[in-house]
Amino acid sequence: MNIQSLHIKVSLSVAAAALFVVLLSSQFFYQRSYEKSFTDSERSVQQLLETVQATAAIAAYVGNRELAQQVVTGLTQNDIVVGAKIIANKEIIGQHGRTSADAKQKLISINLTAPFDEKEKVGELAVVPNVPLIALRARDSAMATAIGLAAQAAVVALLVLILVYWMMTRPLSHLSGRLHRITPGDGNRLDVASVQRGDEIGLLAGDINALLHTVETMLEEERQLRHRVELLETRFRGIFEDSSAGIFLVRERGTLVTANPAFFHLTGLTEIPQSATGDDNIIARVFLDHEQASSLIKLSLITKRPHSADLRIRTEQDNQVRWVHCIFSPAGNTQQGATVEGVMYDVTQRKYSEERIRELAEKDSLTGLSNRQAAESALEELIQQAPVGGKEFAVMLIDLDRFKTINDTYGHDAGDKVLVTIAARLRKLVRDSDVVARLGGDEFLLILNHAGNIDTIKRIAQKILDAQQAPIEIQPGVLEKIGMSIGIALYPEHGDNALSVRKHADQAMYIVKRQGKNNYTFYDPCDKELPLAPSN
Amino acid sequence: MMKTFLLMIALMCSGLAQAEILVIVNAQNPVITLEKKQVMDLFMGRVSAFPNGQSAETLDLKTGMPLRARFYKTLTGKNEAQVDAYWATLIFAGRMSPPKQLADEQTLIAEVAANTEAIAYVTRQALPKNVKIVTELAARE
Repeated sequence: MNIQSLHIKVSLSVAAAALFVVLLSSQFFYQRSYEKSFTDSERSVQQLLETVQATAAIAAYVGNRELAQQVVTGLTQNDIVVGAKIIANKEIIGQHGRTSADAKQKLISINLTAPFDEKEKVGELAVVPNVPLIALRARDSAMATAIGLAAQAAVVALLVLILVYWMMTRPLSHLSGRLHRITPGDGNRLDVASVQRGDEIGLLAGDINALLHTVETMLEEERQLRHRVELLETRFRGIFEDSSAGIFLVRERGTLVTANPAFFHLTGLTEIPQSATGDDNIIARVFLDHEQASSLIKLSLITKRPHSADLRIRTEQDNQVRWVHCIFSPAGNTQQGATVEGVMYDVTQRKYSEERIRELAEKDSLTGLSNRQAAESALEELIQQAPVGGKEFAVMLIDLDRFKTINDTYGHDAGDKVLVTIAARLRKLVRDSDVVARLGGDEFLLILNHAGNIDTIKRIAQKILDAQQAPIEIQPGVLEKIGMSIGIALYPEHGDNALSVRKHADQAMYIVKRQGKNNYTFYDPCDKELPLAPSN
Repeated sequence: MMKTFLLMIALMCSGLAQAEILVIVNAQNPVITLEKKQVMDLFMGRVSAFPNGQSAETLDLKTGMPLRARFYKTLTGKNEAQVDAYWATLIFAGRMSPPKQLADEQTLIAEVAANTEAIAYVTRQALPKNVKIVTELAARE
C-alpha cells in the first residue's frame, strides 16, 4: 500500500514538475514566439514596401497619380496590408484601402527618393499593416510552439515516470511485498537471486536478509533465555511452595504481600489478607511477640541486613505455645514502600528440648527442686540485680534432724521418700517466685524474695516447722515425724555477697542444731565466737 | 619619347573636349541658362515647362545611339536600359510619354532651330545662329 502511494507520489511529483515546466516554458516560448512572429510580419511589411519602393519613387518623382495608384492598389492585395498611400510634395497622389485613422493603427512608412538623385526626397510611401491578422498569425504560431513544447514535456515526463516505475518503484514494491510476507523468525529470506543487482536495491535486499538473520538469532536467544527463566522460576516456585519453612513478604507496616503454604500451615491462617484489607497487620496477628517482630523488621530495613530471633506465635489452643525461628531480610523496594522477606520455621521441639536440658542441669533429679548450682547462681543473680540498699531478701538454710538415722534404719528408699515429701511441702509453703533448692543430702536452701519484714519471715519459718508435724509414711505402716533446723540470714543486713549470706545462714542453722533442733533462728553477729565446740 | 608624351596629352585633351555635350534651345527662347537638375527634370518628364513657365518639348535621339547613352549616363547616372525601363514604367501607368526621338544630331538641331519650345542635346560642334546653348554637360567617359 505504501509502495502504491510511493508510486503515486513519484507520479504526482513528476507530473507536477512537468506541468510546472510546461506552463513556465510555454509561457516563455509563447511570448517569444509571438514577438518573433510579430517582428517577422513587420519585416515582411517592410520588405513589401522595399519591393515597390522604386516604382513608388518614380510615381512620386514625376507626381504620376496613375502609377502611384497602381502601386498602392498592388500593396493592398497583400493580406498583411489593409491600407496604403503615397505622398509627394505633401500631397497624397495615390491611396487605397483603409487609412491609419480608420484602423487606429500606426503607419509603417519609407521615404521615397528621386530615381536619379538619392539625396532628394520626393515623397513617402506609407502602409497600414493588418495588425489583427499579424497578431492572429503570431498567436497561432506561438500556440503551435507552446503546444509542441508541452507535448514534448509530457512525453519526457511519461518516459521518466515509466523508467522510474520500471527501475525503482517496481523492484521496491516487489521487495516490500516479499518482506511483508516474512515474519521474523519463520526462517524465510528475501529471494536475493531475483533482485541480483549491483545497485542500492540489491544492496537493500542483502542488508534486509542480514537484518532478518540477526533478528532471528536474537529471537532464538531470547526464547532460550525465557525458557531458562521459566525453568528457574518453576524451580524457585517449587522451593517456595514446597518449603517446610514459612516464607512471606511483608511491607514495612506489616501488611502481607505474599506467603507460601508452609507459612499458612505454621500460623494456622487460612486466607490471604492481601489487598482486601490493606492495613491488616499480619505481624500482630501472627506473633505473640509482635513488638519484637516489628522492631526486627525495622532493624533489618535500617541496617539492610538480616536479623533473626526465636519468637512465639499465636495458636488456636492457647495452652500450647509454639516457637518459630524467624529471619527478617530486606527485600528491596516496591511502589508501596520497602518490603521485608521473612523466613520462619518451627523450633518448638528444640525449644522444649532446650528447656528440658536446662531443667536437667538446674534441677535436683530426686525432688524436682533447684540443685545446688541453680541455687547459687540464682543467689548471685539476685544480688547482682539488687541495687545496694534496695531489694531485700532472706536466705534460709534447712537441715533435717535425724535423717541419717532414718536412712540407716529403713534404707535409701525411705530416705528418698522423706526428701521428696519435705521438698513438696517446702515448695507449697512459699511463693512461686521464691527459690527452693536441695543443696545435697538432707540440706535445703530457700530464698525468700520481697521479705522485708522480719515477722513475715518468722511466720513462714514457723509454718515450715509446723508442717513437719505431719508424719511421713516412709514404709507401709511406718510413720515418722521429721524435724528440721532452720538458719536464716538476711540480705543485705547479714552479708553483702552470696558467700557471706550463706555462711551466716549456715552458722545460724548450726546454732539451732546445738540448741536442741527443730527450730529456727536468725543469724546473730554476737554468736560469732561460739561456733562448733570441738568436743561435739 | 617626348613627342609621344605630348601627343598623348593632346589626344586626351581633345578626347575630353569631344565628350562635352551641349544642351540647346531655340535662340528665341528667353531661357538663358539651365541647371543640370532642371535639364534632368525636363528630360525625365517631371516637369513639362521651362522655369519661366513656357512649355517645353524634349527631343531625344533614337535608342541605341552612343550619344544618347552618354547623355543619360551623364545626366542621371543610369544606363540606357535603366532609363528605358523607367519610361516603360511610366508609359504603362499611362498619360506619360517619353521625349520624341529623332534620327540624328542634325535633325535635332534643325528641329530646335524651327521650334521655340524645343530642347535637345548634341555633341560639341559649330551651331547655327538660331540655336543657343543653355548648359554644357561634361561627359564622364
